[in-house]
Amino acid sequence: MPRNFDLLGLWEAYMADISQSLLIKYGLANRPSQGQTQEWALLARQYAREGANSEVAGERAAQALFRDYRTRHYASQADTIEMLLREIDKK
Amino acid sequence: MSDIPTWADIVAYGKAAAPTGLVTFILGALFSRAIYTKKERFDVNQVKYKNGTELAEAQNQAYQEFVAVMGAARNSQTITFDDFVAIASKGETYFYQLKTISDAILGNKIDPTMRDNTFVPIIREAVERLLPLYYQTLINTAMKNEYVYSGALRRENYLSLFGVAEKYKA
Repeated sequence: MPRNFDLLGLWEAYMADISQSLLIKYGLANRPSQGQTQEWALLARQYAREGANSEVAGERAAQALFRDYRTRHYASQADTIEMLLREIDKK
Repeated sequence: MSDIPTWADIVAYGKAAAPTGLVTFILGALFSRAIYTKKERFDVNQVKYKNGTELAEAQNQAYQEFVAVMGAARNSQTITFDDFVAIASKGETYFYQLKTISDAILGNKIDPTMRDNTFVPIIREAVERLLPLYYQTLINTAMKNEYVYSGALRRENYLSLFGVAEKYKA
């Protein structure tokens, strides 16, 4: 019998989503674990309470917690396409 | 007076307990609807993964072809009409592939890991950087060569792309 919802699956996807976003946003080498993700959220919230705005608070929390902070730059297809389009635009 | 329940007692008890049984039944039915069995989860995930790999392959193909025609145009002396048409059509294919993927993502038909690692970054960059540049380049090229070209970036043509880019913000 087909099911209409998958609550556990949704929760899993939600948690995975955060660690993936952290990976890309802060240029980490490895995906942070769930524990690290929660630690980051706590620290960021603490900084935010101390008066930093949320963006800065997240940045500082990541810098403090992740040893691989900003060690990767995630480039992609867009870089190649952008370069080629600009070259063509020059002609 | 004895402690042995009479028939009437049993019927009265049944009438009193009926609503409780009904509530339990309804809750049970709803709960089982909200949770996948192990096998169902496996099957669904497998299909989502397969969808993802097929779309990724088609997307990569479209990307290779788009880059190839742009490289050829870049290397030719001047941009010819054929170059212009090739760039416009291969570019359209590239963004069309991303639209298909975005539709699948919004319909929850793709493996979540694949969605986050592979597709969402590509789609966000396409929305934020590539689409405006792509249309601007086509318009500029058309103007330089005096082609009549009325293309423009219209949001309604790329609704699902914008939808994914806004839903999965980092």
